[in-house]
Parts: sequence; C-alpha cells; structure tokens
Amino acid sequence: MSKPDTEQLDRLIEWMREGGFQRLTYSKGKGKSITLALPDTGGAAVARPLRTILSPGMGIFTLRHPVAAAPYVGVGQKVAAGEVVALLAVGPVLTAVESPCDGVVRRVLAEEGAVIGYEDPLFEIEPAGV
Amino acid sequence: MTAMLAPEPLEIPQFSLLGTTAAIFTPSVSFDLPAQQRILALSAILADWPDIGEVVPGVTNLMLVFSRPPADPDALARRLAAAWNDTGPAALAGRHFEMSVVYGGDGGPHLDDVATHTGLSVDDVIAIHTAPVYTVFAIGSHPGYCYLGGLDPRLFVPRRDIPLLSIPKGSFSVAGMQTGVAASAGPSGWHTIGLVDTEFFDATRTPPSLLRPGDTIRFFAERVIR
Amino acid sequence: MITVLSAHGPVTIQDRGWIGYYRDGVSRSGAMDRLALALGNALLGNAPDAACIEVPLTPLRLRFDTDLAFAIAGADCGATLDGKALSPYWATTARAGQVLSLGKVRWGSFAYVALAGGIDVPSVLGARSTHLRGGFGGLEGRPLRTGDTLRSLRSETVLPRGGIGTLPLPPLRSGDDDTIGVRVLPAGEYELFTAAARTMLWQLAWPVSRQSNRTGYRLDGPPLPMSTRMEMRSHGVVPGTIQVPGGGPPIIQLADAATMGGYPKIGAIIEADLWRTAQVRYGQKLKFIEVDYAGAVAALNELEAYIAECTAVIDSTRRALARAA
Repeated sequence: MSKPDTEQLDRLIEWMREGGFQRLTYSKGKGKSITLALPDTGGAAVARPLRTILSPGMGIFTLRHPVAAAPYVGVGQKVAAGEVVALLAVGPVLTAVESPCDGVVRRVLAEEGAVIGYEDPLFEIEPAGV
Repeated sequence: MTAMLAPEPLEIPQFSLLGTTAAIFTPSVSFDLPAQQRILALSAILADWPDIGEVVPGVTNLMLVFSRPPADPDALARRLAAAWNDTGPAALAGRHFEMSVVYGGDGGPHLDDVATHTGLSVDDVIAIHTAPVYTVFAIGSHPGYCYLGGLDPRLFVPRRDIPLLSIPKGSFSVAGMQTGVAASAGPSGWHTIGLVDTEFFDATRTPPSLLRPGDTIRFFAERVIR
Repeated sequence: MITVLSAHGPVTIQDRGWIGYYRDGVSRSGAMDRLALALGNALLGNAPDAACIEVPLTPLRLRFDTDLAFAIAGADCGATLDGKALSPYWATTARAGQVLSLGKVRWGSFAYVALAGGIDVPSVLGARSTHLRGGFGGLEGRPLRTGDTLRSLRSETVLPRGGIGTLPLPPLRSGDDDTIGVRVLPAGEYELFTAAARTMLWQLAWPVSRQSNRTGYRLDGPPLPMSTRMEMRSHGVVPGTIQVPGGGPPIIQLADAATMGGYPKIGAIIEADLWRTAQVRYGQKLKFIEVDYAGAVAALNELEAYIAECTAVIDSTRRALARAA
C-alpha cells in the first residue's frame, strides 16, 4: 500500500485554515469515514479574521452586572449575536456592549474598571464558521 | 371601665411627627362637639400654610400631610399651638341625612356582645343607638367611612384586641367613644351591631365621599334580627 | 399592547398613588417600592409618575403583541425575554410576539414592569393606581388576570442598542444577610411605652410574618407594653407608621393602610426607607435604626438626588442617541 500524498494533505490543511475549520469529517458510507483535526492554536494561527468589538459609547468598563454572581463572558466562551458581553457605567447608569455576531470570545482587550471612550476596542471575537 | 376610657391623657404630645410625611396635632380636649368644631375651624385655616399638602381632621385631632418636609417642625408646632388658642368653635354648615339600619343577625354579629358588656338589653342598645342626631366628625380609614360623634356614653365599649379580617360594606360599628359605618368590606377592630344600606363613596363623583365633617345623621331601626 | 399570559396573586397597576384624598378616606396606595417606580419610568423617559405593573413575589408571564419598549425594576426576579436573561433594573425593546417571564425571585418582594409612556388606564381621582379595598382605579379596580390586555401610552422610546439600566441601591444590611435595616423616627406615643419596650424596638431583629401585604406588615415577636393602657381617638395614619395594637408586637402600616386608626404609634419608618421595607419578605427580618428628623430629611434628599442623577444621565444618553440617529 502506497503512502498518502503529503502534498494533498498540505493542501487540505491550508484549505481548512482558510475556511476557518477546526475539524473535517469525510464520510462515504458505513465504516468508511475519516476525521481530520487541526490543533487549537488560538488567535494568530486561525486563518478566519477576528472581529473586534468597539465600544458603543463612553463609561467605566465592567464584565459583570453589580448584582450578578458571574461575569457575562470569559475567554473561550461562545456568544450569540446581540448577547450582552459587558457593561459601561456612567455614574449609576449602565449601557450594554453586545456581540455583533455568533462566535467565541478570544481576548478581552479592556481592563475591568477602565474608563472607556467611544469606539475603544473591548473584545476580540472569533466569528462562528458557516 | 371608666379608667380605660378616660379622655386623652395629658402625656400625649400635642404635636408629633410621622416621619417626614406628616404631623399629628392632638390637643387635650373632651370628646364633644365644641372640640370638633374648633378642630374643623382650625383645619380650614391651615390649608394655606406653607409645606402643608393636606389637612385631615380626625376625631378631636388633626393630621397635617406635608407637601414637603418643613425645615423647622418646632416652629410649625409653635405656630399651630398659637393658631389653636385663637380658634373658637365655628358653627358647622352641614347637611342632614336619615338612614335606616338592620340590627343584629349576620350584619350585626357583636350586638349581643355589646349588650352583655354594657349590661343593657338588645332592645335598649338599639333604642339608645338610634336616639341621637349624630354629627360627622371626620371621614377616613377607608374611602367614605364616617366617624360619628354623639354616641351615648352608655354604649362605650373598648376596641376588640383582635380585629376581624373582614366585615361587610355598610357595617355599623362601635368602639371606645366612637361609632361609624363601613363604606366597603374590610377588617375592623370595632364591634359591629348592624347594617346600613347607603352608598357612602363614589370614585366618579366630586367630592367622592357622600359625607363631610359637619353633616348630621339620624338612624332608625328598619328591622332587628335576633 | 401586551397580553397577560399568566398572573398569580395581586398583580396590580400602580403609580404614585392618591394625593389630596386622605380627607375622603382614600389611602395613598400606589407603588410599594416608589424608587423602582421612579427608576423604571426614568429608564424609558416616562413621566416619573406613569403607571406600571406591580408584581408581588409571584410568577408572571406577559406577551408583547406589538414592538414595545419596556423596563423591569424592583425585585431581582430572574426576568427573561423569550428565555434570554434580563438584568435587574433594565430597559430594552421587545418585538411583537416575545414573552416576558418573571419567576424565581433572588432578592426582594415586588417587581415592576414599566411600559413606554406608562400604562394606559383611566385616571381616577387623579391617579392610575389600583384601590383594592374601594374597587376602583388601575384596571377596573382589580388585580390583573390571564387574558387581560394592556395598552401603553407610547410604543417606542429611544433606547441604546442592548438596552439601558441603573445600579440597584443596596439594602441597609444590619447583621446577617436576611436582616434589613430601616430608619425610624419615634412617633407620638413613643414615651408612653415602657423602657423595656423601647429597648426591644431598637435591639431586636423583627421577623416579617406571613400576614404581610400592601396594607401592612405584621411582625413576629414579643409584645411591646405601654406604661398605661389607653384608648386613643381615631387619628391620621400614613405609610410607615408603626402601630402597636393591644400591647402586642408591632404592625407597619404601608401603601394601602387605612387612613385613620386608633392604635398607639411607637415610631414611623422614614419615607426614604419605605422602598427598602417593601422589599423585605417573609423569612427576613427588619432592624429599626433610630434617626432624628434632620437625618430623615437628609435621607429623603439623598434618595431624590439619586433618582435625579439617574434620570439626568439616562436622558442625556437618550438625547445623544436621538441626535446621532
């Protein structure tokens, strides 16, 4: 039996990275399937561009509602389009920062308690694949 | 019995606060018509004073509901005391009403209690209760409820320590030196002796209550359920 | 427009209540938590006294039949919109068909749902509150039922994307988590209670009994004896008044309290802490903290300043959005 063509494998890896796929499963009937998985290399290695959530306004950045036990999100957490990921506080008034798309939180770019200006970068989201 | 029902002891302060919301004025007076006439005359004057949102006559007392908390309540107390001293009983311009009562039965569950407590027969209780022309001293407690003066001292009984959860609309009750008619169903700490069939409150009317302090009422026994 | 899908207990329409009708025997009534009413309305740019839905400690489901801006305030009751969690004290816009569900209470006793412009029900004697005893006001003078529909005076309001909220004010903790402090001014008959009674008033943590509702909260605990037995003549009562009938444990008169009573009064909870009192529930305790008149006025000014600050920031945020649009 001949060795698999590594050039084909290289092309397959490149194709997967471009498409932002982590895993590829090829199946042709019962018993004939194969799954290829790329290692999870985090931010820079993923081919699909990250989206940066920019602040919709001004205020003090907080990842947690004052009476909530837990923060809205953490790194690696899935979010849905429109979901609240953080709050901006101006005195006693809170406005929400929403995720623009479905995806996974990859980085938190602002510090808890920092004073944030309009369009300051807050999060990096890896948008969900198609 | 008389020790419990003595006129207001002198130790109740004449002027006291209910938080920042209101003040209560409790002069040391007898429970009689001239005292209430003075109270009603004073209440007419106070309506224009600063920080006073509403003046609410009680039974020989007044509540001043603040529109906003006064800066100096002590000054208000002094001014009020002075105004009271200068106020004599004014004749009341009220209307007269005649109302029928069904005594006893389910509408008057405590008629026998009152008879027992006073040592009078039920018929005597009713005769004494319907004899006077009552004066409306105050409106309050619930919408349209009237506090009446003129109850014969022979019918004085203390309030019930454990109030009833609900007595029906129209319930005619006595307690202490007071008597009055419920304008709607609700709890009561008084002794209920009969039922009156009159609309005492209509939210669509101006003013919504039928009666005003100064009005007079004569009751007659339409029926007695034994 | 909204439809009530399910309601339990006395869910009623309330605004600030009746002013100027004590002389007709009409209690002030209105929202038990007036801070929640004020902030719920402020979040939507409503008039501060617009009518809201008051929800006691019970589940409630409402469906939005049209797109509508709304706010929740008061108790933290695990509110969700189509299953998605809402923060407490939050305003956002619902789309037609979405369902607001209030259920598991984490804190508090009364939640409020405000709608853009306020609930559209007739004003009776100058207020849109519900007078349960009198059977008037609000929606036909009664609690809301499954199937009821309610209109709001506006449908939309300018809100930031994702909504807008306010910081909940903390309760005054006194001792453990379940003991809430409220400030009290001694009342007329205070000195006529025994020294032991006065000491107990301030030192004990008073459990709120099950017999507690909009009319008043009965407290469990020892009787507070007076030095002399007395029969008082009927006199005015306002929300916050702490009565002691027959030398028993205290009763706190609240929103729907009778406007007159004859029981001795040992104190009055200050207006600024009535909202805190309202949010204490069965199983928790009240601790009375003595203040003087100046302290009570300062507390009220502080509360009003907080509401004014929230309103100003909310309004400027909404104006900036409206200009950018």
